[in-house]
Amino acid sequence: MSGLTLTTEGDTHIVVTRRFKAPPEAVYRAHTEPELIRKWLLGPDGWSMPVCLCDARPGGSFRYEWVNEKGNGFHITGEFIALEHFPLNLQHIRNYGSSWRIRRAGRHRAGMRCGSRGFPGSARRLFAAGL
Amino acid sequence: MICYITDVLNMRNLDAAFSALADPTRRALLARLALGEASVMELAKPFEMTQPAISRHLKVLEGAGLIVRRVEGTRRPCRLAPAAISEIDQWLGMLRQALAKNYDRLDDVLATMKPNRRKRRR
Repeated sequence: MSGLTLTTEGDTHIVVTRRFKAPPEAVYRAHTEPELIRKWLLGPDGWSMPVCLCDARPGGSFRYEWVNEKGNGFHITGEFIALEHFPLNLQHIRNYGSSWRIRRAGRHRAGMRCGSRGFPGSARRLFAAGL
Repeated sequence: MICYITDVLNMRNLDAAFSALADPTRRALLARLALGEASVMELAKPFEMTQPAISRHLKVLEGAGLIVRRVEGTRRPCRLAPAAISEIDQWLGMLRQALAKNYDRLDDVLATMKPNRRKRRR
């Protein structure tokens, strides 16, 4: 599925909206299970995620480390503030710098709204790598 | 660290361009120039600013490569420099593409998860 839209809210908040041909539960798992995250959260071609730690529970921390083909890399870390399950209809993940809201959008369809408020200190690196 | 971008674009140009854009008067001047070439006098008209003040803003825009000026007698009319604008556009496009790529890959991941879902539902 495509149809990614980017909008801004205020001066520092970017909102990404996207639909998926999958149930919200699957989209949620793909955002919280390390073995799934490292398959897609890679930004431009040529990058991989050798370290992906994601303790998806309130107060749990995450650490994502990326490297490119030349061996250059960077990482981000953060903490989950809240993970809310609204069975079948809405799932919500909030962490230090961003939040994902995953909704049911028809049978086997999910819509996702992702907002990023910038990670202090790592925002420049994150955006520079196009992640 | 910011290795990906430096491969693609000249970051120093972008630094100057974004720093020049971080001012509402200069953005308004660019918006006016998007309509076509204009002299300093014409550009100054809608602003409550002196011509020297406008000239200083134009100098910043020119230094960042966002506008070019030509000499026409005593006038020095300004116009947009398409190359610099498209460089900014390319950079933003790269961000958009990388984001789109993430979610295209996520589509593939989700497709492989389908059998699990059926199993769970049974």
